[in-house]
Amino acid sequence: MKKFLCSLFIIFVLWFGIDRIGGAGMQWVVWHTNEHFTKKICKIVSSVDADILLLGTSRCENHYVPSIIRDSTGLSVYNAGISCSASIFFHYSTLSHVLRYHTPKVVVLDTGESEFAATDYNLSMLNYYAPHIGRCAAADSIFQWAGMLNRNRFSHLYRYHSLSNMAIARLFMPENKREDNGYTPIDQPPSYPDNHGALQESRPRDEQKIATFRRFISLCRQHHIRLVLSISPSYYHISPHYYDVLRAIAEEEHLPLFDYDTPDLYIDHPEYFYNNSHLWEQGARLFSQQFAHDLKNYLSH
Amino acid sequence: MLFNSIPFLLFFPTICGLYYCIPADWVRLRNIFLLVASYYFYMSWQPVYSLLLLTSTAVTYLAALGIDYYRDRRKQKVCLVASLVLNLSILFLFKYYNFLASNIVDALTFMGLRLEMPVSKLLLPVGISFYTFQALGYSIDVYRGTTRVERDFLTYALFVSFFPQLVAGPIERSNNLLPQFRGKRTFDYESAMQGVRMMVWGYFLKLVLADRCGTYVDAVFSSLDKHNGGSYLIASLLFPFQIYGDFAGYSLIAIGAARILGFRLMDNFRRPYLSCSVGEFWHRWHISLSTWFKDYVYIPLGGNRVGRLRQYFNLMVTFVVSGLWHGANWTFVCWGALHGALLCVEKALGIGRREYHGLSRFLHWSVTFILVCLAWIFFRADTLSDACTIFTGIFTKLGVPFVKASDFGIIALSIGLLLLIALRQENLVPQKTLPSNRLGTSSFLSFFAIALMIAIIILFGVLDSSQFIYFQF
Repeated sequence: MKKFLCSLFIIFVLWFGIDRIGGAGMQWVVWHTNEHFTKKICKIVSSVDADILLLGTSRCENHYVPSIIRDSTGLSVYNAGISCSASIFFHYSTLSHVLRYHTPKVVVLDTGESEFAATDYNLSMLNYYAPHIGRCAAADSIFQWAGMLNRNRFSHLYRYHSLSNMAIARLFMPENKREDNGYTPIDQPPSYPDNHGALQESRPRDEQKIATFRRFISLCRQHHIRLVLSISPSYYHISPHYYDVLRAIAEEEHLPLFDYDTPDLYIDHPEYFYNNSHLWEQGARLFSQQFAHDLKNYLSH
Repeated sequence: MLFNSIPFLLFFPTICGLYYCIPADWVRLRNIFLLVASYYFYMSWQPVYSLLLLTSTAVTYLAALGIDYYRDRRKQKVCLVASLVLNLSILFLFKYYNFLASNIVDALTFMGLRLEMPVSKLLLPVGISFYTFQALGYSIDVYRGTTRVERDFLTYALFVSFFPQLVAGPIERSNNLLPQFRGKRTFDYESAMQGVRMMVWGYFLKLVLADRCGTYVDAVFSSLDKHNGGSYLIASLLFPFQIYGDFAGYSLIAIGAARILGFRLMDNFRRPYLSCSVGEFWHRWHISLSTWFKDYVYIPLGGNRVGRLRQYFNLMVTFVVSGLWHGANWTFVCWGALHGALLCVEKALGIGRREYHGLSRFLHWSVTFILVCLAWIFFRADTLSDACTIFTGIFTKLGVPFVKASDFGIIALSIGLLLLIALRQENLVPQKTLPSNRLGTSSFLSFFAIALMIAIIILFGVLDSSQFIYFQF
């Protein structure tokens, strides 16, 4: 038995060594890969220097064109939207990482129900920040809350398990040249969405998300950042009370809320949409002009 | 509690540590401890279903005592039949009732009659087919006189519920496992290290090979309308590796865990995809189930000792029942029937009666592999209509497939490693090509290989505690 336990201990020591060496190797891969999200997150944790920081999901990433907003406002812009990152926990991590080395003047949070409603995507994409654990205590606190911090600290290789295959595969592939400061255009679809789908009703409140949303707001206040909430267009008919919780928080916190969805501004224009939730490039450019105009007006007051 | 979950990774070492703290001479106490651990393991799913396990155990235990008690063969038969009927009734109620009821309703509707039958909302208890068959095997063995009756209820209950093989096999035989529970078990270093290696390799097969293949296969099979024949073809080629990695991986973890505890379970897989005939495939795939059906269904039906036509009939019955064992769905029945038919054809043509070499071996292997892959389509498809869509899609709508290049790299490397090891074990490649043949259980290289494999699993495995496919059976 003693020999068996010794053998297991030797295996553990060897594994520990492999884990640490492999972890260092994967760290190199992460910083050199052309995998879209991994590369974008490396940029977010190290070198964003824009005046306006756009945060959100794919609806942010595909809807806000930085060059259009920059030309209108005269401020530099970076679109830090990440597909599938549909929760305030992820956006809180993103902002915390950026604030470690740079303070933007304006943060635009392209929001939806993921900031206050119970959904299945609470921790979606959060693993992309796992390789950067240890850099930012505020972001690590999200991992701690999710019960994912200890296992990521224990094994360095574990930090890469959800992105290793893609990061390695994309190491040798060219980067996406069409990206404009974090904005990724969507090509024209073969056909536009042909119906609005069923009426979208609000989901139940998630108090943990609302608490994190308030932490997000106070983080902006602490750094004297002007926070703007925005709801970009979708091709759904939504219930008039869909964003009631969000509106209440915005009012309570005295935050501007640019709502391009509820007034059904785009609902008669399927030709701007790639699918029910996403504008393709032409729609995004049109929307960005409108948003830039509204943002400029707001900032000038 | 899944083998690929954090609770099991805490449960198993704890159980091992406590188990070996009990002196080896205290066999009964060790058995009681393992019994409690096994029920705890089973109850972590649905505690109430442990009553079914207990019922099956009690019924077969009492039936065996009855068979042993009576000298009259007819009374013995009554005991055996009572055990079979009770156990199979439970299995039928939980697994097949809804299938039968819906088919009766459909058939009557087809004939213009209307009948409403109640629908059972009972959940299928995990592992019910496995432990029921294991317990029935014991009853039949006692009736046949090929195994000694077990008078100690706790020892017998442990035989039925032993946690490493409780929910997905191997379906153990009483004359292999029961004597091991009766005897003294001392710790054996070599055996325990073999167990560790088997578990690690099993985890690799499940988490890296099977679950990576699963991401593609599930994406295609769950939305057939969004994919073309090219994707169907790739998914159909990956599914055999998914199910092999999933089930052989589970079996290896089970056998390895049992070996660390000092028990030897039967092998369940012997490189099935290197078979040169469908008959050979069934000597290598899910061995514990195929030998169960051979011993308790095929041979009692007359086996090979009857006329040719009757042999074919026996084969078809055995394989249709085997298909049905896997699930209450016509897809499984078709899968079983297809294998039965292929075996009949092989028997008629005399295929698989001799060893093949060189080109002949390659041709036989290729044909067998393709046939097995095609049959798996029935197994994986949700309905017969889906299976037909896939078949027709492969042959008529072959377009550019949906590709997940990042996953394919890992899958290709995993299959390559699996193939290399399998070829070496079959002595089909020069022994020098792989050093592991000469690795002892305690060499540095062996330890390093285990540590490296764990690191690979952590880095490339799908670590979301996904279900094992065979749990649903």
